[in-house]
Amino acid sequence: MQFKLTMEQELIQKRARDFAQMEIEPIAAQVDRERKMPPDMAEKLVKAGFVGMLIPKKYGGSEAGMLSYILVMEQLSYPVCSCLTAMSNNVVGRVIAQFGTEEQKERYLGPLCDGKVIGSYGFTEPSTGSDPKSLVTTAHLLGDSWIINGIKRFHTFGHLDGPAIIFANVDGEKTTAFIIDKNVEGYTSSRPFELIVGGGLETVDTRFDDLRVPKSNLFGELGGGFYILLAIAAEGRLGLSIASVALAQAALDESIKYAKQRTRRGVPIASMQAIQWLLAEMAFRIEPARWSTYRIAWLVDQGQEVLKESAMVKLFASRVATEVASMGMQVHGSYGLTKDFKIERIYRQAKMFELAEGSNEVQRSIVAGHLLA
Amino acid sequence: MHIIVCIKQVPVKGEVPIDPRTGILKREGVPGVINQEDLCALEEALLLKEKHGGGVTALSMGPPQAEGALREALAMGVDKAVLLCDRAFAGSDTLATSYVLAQAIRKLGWFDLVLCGKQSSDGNTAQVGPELAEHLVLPQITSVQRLEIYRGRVEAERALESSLQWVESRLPAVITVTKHINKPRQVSVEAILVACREKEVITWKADDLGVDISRVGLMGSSTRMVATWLPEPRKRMGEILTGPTREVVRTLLERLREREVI
Repeated sequence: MQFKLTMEQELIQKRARDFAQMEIEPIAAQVDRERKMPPDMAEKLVKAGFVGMLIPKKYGGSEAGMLSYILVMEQLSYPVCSCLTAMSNNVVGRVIAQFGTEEQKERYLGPLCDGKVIGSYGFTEPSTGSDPKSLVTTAHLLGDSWIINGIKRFHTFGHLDGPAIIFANVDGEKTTAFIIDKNVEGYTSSRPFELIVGGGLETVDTRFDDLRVPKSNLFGELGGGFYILLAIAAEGRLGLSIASVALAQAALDESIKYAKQRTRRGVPIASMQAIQWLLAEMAFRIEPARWSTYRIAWLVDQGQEVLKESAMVKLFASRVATEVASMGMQVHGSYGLTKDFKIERIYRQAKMFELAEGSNEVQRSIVAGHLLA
Repeated sequence: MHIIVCIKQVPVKGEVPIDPRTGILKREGVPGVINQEDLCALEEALLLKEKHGGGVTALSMGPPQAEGALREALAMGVDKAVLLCDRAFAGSDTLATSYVLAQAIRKLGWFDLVLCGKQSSDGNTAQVGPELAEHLVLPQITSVQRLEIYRGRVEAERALESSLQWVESRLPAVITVTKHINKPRQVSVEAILVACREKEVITWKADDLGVDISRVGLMGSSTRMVATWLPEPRKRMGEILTGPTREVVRTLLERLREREVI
């Protein structure tokens, strides 16, 4: 067993660390405050080669692998700034490469690698939450087209041009995936929800009113949507897990910095056992979360299915993020409540990880389902 | 034109543990990056190649992990990468290091220019470049922040402590550059993948270079690290001037004149 990154992975990790320090950290607080993403961020991410890492070379990607992608996501997430919209193309592109027809791959993967479009996926509905068996969105075949009707809630980047993978019920029982072009006739989206996580992350409601898509846009097999959903969610959860780790690491680093600077009766608070224990509690949570995420990414690179493992690690890492962020606030004391310190932003964003990509209660059900199967 | 760039892998952030027994910086096992000024030397070589054509070879002496620095150089665009790695080289001082590098450069054959960073962030001696020039019996220009290549000669702007100096030399020559000469390019993930999956880092050992073994390593070094320690942070002494404004201003001017500030 080797707990060691390869030279290639170390170089990719370093590149991402440099990018995060130079391009993201300086704008992070502003993006959060003004809720506006820099327009050239997608272009910069593409130029650095971070978009398309999970897409085959044949279609314009680099096939860097899941572990390398996770290493990049960890570094890019460290400044705690929601400006990584184009990175969603990695997961969407990988799923299209896995389940799409040749025509779909040819059509969608190139633009996804170029960052000219933003891929997304929409499953959750207002009345069904994450339950795949009670989808209200329907699709029926009319001549050479599918006609889709329904609403998707919390469809992240659902308003941005590009392909979306959405799920609909066919014949009242078959959960089926479709790949559709956003912002065409019959497709409308709401204004982004105002989230406590601050600016940059945009999630909307999208509505399909007799949305007509060609027959060839069926994604995977008729009735095979549930499996595709599981595959997307599994890989999406890995990205979310490593973002949780990065956020927790940022909380720890900020807390160490603060504890060394802040003095009480002339002595840095870092010399106090109460603070030291908090820092230790933070650190020992982060380490297993990081290595578990790396391991599961590595399993993906070995071609293994990680449905249960990714649910477990998401459950674990996201809890680590909220716990560690909360401890970080304790280290900062009342100053943590002010906008002057980064820990405030970290604390606000941490909660998202326990709720996104299926709440942690859903993750528990997935894990239990595997244990009892 | 063919350019050889000597690079060194240094520990991240310059945090180097010191071997308490030998007093030497312990580089093995510490995450490494290319020394900042060496990165600038690489960038300058690549810019010159883009302008004048030819090729760039990156050369590094170090432990096996220094291959990472050479892979990064390949990702930046160098054509060839050579690692000088042998247990016999361990503990080499700047004289022994520059001797090994010179032997490798001779083995590489014909070249127009050798570029080095002015100094490394860990050793900070700024000696390897000049010593290399002496070993190779070539002209040298140090602390260069701007350079122009013409047919068979080079013009370079040297940054001295309080002035700039323009120097001309014939080629081939050894030039050391400062971090002000350029801003090194950022490599893409694709370039890293190509550098790691498709390109080769050649490794030369002591035998391959035909070095005199008594001139390399700890035993071949003419200097000894007797002790290494972190200096105490210098305490700054402040002085607050009080009294009538006129008097305070007069005293302030005196103080500034004493220190030759004005």
